[in-house]
Amino acid sequence: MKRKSIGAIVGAITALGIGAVPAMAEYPVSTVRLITHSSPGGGTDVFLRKIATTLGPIMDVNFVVENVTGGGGAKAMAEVAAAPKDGSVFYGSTPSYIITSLLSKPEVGYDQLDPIVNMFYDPQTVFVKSDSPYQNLQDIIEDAQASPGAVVAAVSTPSSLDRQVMEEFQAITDTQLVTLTHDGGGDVLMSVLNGTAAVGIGEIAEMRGQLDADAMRVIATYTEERVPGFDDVPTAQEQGVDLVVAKFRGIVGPKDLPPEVITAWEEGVQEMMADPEFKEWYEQEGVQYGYLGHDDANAAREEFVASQTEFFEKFDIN
Amino acid sequence: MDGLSYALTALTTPTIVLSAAGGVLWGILGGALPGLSPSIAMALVLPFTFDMSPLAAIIMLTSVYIGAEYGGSIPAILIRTPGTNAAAATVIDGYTLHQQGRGGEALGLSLVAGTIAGLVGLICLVFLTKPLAMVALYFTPPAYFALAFLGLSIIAALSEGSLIKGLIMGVIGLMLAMVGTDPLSGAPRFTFGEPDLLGGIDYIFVMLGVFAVAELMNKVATPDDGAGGVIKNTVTRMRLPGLRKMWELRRAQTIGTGLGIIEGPIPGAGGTVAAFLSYNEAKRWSKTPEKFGHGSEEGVVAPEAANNAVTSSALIPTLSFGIPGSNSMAILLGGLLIHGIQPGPMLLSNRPDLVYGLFGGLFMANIFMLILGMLVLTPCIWLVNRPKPYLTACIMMVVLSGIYSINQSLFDFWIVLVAGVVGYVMRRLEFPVLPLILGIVLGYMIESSYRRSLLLTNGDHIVFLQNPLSLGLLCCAALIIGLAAYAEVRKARKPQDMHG
Amino acid sequence: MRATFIVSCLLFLLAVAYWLGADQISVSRLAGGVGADGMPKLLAVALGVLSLALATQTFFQMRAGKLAAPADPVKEGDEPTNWHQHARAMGLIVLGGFYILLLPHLGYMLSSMLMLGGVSFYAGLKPSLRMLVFAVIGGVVYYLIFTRILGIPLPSGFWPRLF
Repeated sequence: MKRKSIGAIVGAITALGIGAVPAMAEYPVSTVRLITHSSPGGGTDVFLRKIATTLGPIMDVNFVVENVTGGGGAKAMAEVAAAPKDGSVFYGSTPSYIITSLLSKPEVGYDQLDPIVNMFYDPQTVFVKSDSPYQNLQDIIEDAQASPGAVVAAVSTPSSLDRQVMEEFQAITDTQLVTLTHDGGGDVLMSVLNGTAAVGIGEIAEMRGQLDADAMRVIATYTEERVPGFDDVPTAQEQGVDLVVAKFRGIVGPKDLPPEVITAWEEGVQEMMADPEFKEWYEQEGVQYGYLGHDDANAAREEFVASQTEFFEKFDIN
Repeated sequence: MDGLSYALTALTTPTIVLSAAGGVLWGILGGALPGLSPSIAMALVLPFTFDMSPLAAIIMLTSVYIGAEYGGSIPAILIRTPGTNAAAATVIDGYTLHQQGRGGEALGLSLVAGTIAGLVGLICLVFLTKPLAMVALYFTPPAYFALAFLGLSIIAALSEGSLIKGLIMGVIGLMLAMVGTDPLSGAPRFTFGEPDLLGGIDYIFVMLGVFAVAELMNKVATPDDGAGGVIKNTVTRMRLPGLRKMWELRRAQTIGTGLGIIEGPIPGAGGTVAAFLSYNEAKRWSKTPEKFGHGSEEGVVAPEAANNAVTSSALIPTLSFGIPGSNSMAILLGGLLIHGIQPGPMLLSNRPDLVYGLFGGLFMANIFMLILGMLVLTPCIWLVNRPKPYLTACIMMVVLSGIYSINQSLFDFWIVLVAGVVGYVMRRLEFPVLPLILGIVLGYMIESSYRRSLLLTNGDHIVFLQNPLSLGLLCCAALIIGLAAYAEVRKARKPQDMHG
Repeated sequence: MRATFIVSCLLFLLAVAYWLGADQISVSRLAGGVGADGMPKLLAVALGVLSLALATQTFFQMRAGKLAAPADPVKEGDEPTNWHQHARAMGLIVLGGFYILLLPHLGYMLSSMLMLGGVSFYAGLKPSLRMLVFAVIGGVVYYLIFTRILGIPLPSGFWPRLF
């Protein structure tokens, strides 16, 4: 249980590019390994497997998903950084590889990898139990100002983005809440359900079951725009709290890849993102479109690293 | 009666029956190989379930889970090595029975006790899902703290001979549990810049070290005297206990099953705590408590019943909230999501075919566990009766292979070897090993829940007394400590008539 | 007795070291009132006190033991008792250490063959053709079980470079 990694198994599925018309220049290798630090069935794993089956025919490549767990992603990073620079190995990235690099300073960190493309944003949402008196962020802020240190907000692991969001929320709104950390997203839901915490921060995919049963409500999202499927939920910015979280999902590779490999990815991923069937799938998963090409993804990472470093320094975590 | 017909449909679909049987067999093998936890055994079959029907897929995954939780007790009894965390409590009396040449009986007891507990747990899962789901909801940080404290209080009862030595081992276990990421701030602690230590030290490494490696060290220290093995009067067959025997052991069986069912739905508590608590309670309520630790049948039945009962009730939070309480359940959830099934409060009304089909599948899985267990155990007993040099080499290699699956790190092998040396030294000096295990298993829970509770009240300890569940559990803990202290004092007064 | 005394002194040193280690933990105000170092320091103190108590207890038992019966309680038959046997036990750890060092270079199959041969020899088996067969077949079987069936990516060593 708890913070342990689950183990690592090469669970592989292949996407055969049968009958795909190679619309673009041929990719230099026929089999590409997509590495994830997530265990089979975990969030990034499911996401990569879907990409493998969708992107395979488009790029005319066999994708194999491999789970390399352990060390908070340090193992997976080391494996990708040491891979041949021919476009045969990539890493399915989430912010955690950067957070791990900054916090534990492994031998191979984020700076030895090169972001290829970003694809999605995981919207961070604020949710409450359905019978909660809170209707919007202002209710929470008022309550927290009236009685400092009484409103409990549940967030997932200590170095997660939702924890950082909560700390920044307090700074922006000049309130004092209790930020209760957990061992994972599931425990956060449990704390909100049993009333330990008044509000929770989390991702839509995790609470889908509770939302379907009307046991929980989403009252705000930390996104630029409203989340598809939650069109009546205003963003935090709309509610007067200027806070946007870019929890990205993308593909990262070894440094110095040939330009044609990067171009092949950029073109292939754009085509995949435009596929209506794929769009339906990812919106159901509760993620938002967030395509960024190679240069933009690099710039976004620099920005992300800077904000993380600032946060860790501000709170003396190192 | 729709439910029953769904269950019957599942029971009569050949692919589903096959996936239950295959799952249980795979699980028993995975659980029996030390280092392969139930969750890894499940993760290994996960890719194969992608192409199955959703019902066959979840039945296969849960069958692997059931099989693996049982399988862990086979090496616990035969080679003093718990195959899974929850089997650690079985080692005490199971291995002693094996050394007395009664390994076949111990295996039979664990199999039958496990099957009965699994079936009773299933009945509770079917009829008591709602109330048991409430158990999961009642557990707030103060209650978790009290539960962990109750678990630790058993140290007082488990440190036979020397309370100081037991406490020292417990503290060392807790110290090991501090390694890793701080549960509140996220700061790394005692990791020495080693990324492998960020996630903490997995209990299984310490268990394999202090149990398996230390035992192997013992074996090679005393050279073969030509007799072939140490165990005399060996029974080379598995022996199932009769009805009468099980009736005699009903008390331990009930305690184990009951505690297992209650602990199952509590996220994060898991079968290990249930197994240790029921071992302790079975000893307290036993007519022959002095036999515990020296080859007691009840000492096998109680923890085995507990860790198999957990397999049914642990499904409750996953199915009824969509919230996994353990690594194994997280993989089950992943398997469901891949099939587009969203577990949660709506699952029963949206997909009754799936829920009742799963119940049918669980019933099959428990029956298959009994049948396949009987088939597997005799070859296992044969294997451990090979001459000592071969056996020692084979066990050492199993230990140095399976754990690689957890982090794919050679670093973990070193942890196991160091734990082996520590275990060997402690055993020579008669330091009890179990408090160490309890400490390392409960350390994270007790610290994180303590500090989270205090956050809730801005540092006021009253929080532990305000919560009724926490208060109740703390009273139980106080009782256990009090009784152990009383026994210690009485023993100190009359030293001559002790030492049974 | 004497060994227990020495070990309890070592444990006291461990407690001191642990305290110093706990002092290195970076203190963040996110860690709550108790702090990231609170529990580790508490444990260090607990171990310090307990180890001193054990040392004292053992010390007095040793003195009382000199006056009365000097013998340790009788151990069970197969328990190792003397230093020669303890050294033999440590040898197994040394073998394990060699295995861990060789594994990334020689690959899993060959290392496990060497380990099976080495440990069985160390545990009293006379070198013979039978032992060789056991080690070779054993290594292949382990390779098949763990790498092929279970799919655990154990190191393959230098072998892939040969082909």
